[in-house]
Amino acid sequence: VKLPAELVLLAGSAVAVASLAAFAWLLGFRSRARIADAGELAALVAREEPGARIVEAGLDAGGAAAVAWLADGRVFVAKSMGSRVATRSFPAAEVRLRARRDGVELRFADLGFPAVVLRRAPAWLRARAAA
Amino acid sequence: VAARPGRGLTSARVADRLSFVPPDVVSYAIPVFVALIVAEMLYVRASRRGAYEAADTAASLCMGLGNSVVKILAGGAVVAAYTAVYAWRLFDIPWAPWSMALCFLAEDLAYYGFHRISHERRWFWASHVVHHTSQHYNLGTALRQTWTGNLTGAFVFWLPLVLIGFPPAMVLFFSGLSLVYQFWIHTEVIGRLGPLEWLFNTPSHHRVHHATNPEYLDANYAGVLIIWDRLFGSFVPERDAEPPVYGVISNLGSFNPLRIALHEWLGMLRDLARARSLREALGYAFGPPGWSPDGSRKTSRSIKQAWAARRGARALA
Repeated sequence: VKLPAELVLLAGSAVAVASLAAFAWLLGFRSRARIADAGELAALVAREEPGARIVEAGLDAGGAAAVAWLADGRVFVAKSMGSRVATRSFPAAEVRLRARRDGVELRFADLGFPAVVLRRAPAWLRARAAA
Repeated sequence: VAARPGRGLTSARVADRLSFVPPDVVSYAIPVFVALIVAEMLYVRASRRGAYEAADTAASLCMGLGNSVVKILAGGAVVAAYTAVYAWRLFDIPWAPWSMALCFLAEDLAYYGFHRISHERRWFWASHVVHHTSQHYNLGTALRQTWTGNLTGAFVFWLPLVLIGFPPAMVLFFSGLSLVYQFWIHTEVIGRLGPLEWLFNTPSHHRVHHATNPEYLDANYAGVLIIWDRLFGSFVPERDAEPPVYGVISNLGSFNPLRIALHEWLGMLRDLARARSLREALGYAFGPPGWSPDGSRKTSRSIKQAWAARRGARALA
């Protein structure tokens, strides 16, 4: 007897979710953060991993992502998440690289941080992916 | 356990007072939640105070919707657990103004305990982390709720109340009321609220709770009353010189609700599969979030220690 009322409530909630997301989009809450250059990437590394030294760095052509190999053997990744940037450091051994026609894909052993593609990746990263 | 009538109360009346079913306040509040989110979006758009992101909001609301689905599917099991424990209750506590006041305080204390352990032990954090995964702080974030909390035992924190003798419906009522109260404190558009800040959990106090700044980590676990944090030493005030940075230490790279809901559980399973001893397995499951056998990962404590060391070094320089 109670189920239909709960289903109605769920259906109403689903409509509300879609409407609110659309309303946020219409209001213009859809900016995209960019990692514009190596300086911005270095600033992110300094903030998230104080004292870490960058050995090599690469940026996605559109600024949607960036990657830095750190001197301590970790890989620092930054990714645009809407108007914010999400960052993560992984041991290099846990990062899988795959060369693609348009760049290099990086995969991580973490469900919360899906693959990142660096379009027009730098030569050093393409070399690592090919190795 | 038979009801024990007090003076002037028949057994039937006591039974009535124990079995009263209050309204589901969360369901009634949903239209108000929607209206307030719309109002906050318009205010943020007009004033540039606070922030929204469409994809982030969609993810938060999907998590809230999924939470409701799980409640419908598994809520019966939680009620069954409450009812089973209630059969062993120590006292018959009727629905009365005095008992409701007591239950409100006891529920708020139980929430504090649940919330604190949810930040300090990975088993519970794996569910609760969901609520902290947004890098924004707005009314939409309030609805970013776990799908796995009650499935993995979060409800046990309220069982002592039922064992004492508070009717399950009364506990559920105040638990719902606490959730409704906590909705409005997820906002950047309300500043500080004067003397209310002493007694109540407020937007200011809860901004600190959602912040990843080292000095704000693991603070302000309150539900409705901030007194518990003040009593148990976990209160940290918001400072204008230290604006909160929202999210988690390892921010998610995805708005996918499934990844948001399950990422920490799968991370834990992966760690458990790699554990080389019972001690390691227990550490991965029940240690602080970020615990690792060699201490190579970040925990709240290590982050705070590193921050304190950097601050000390700067002061010496």
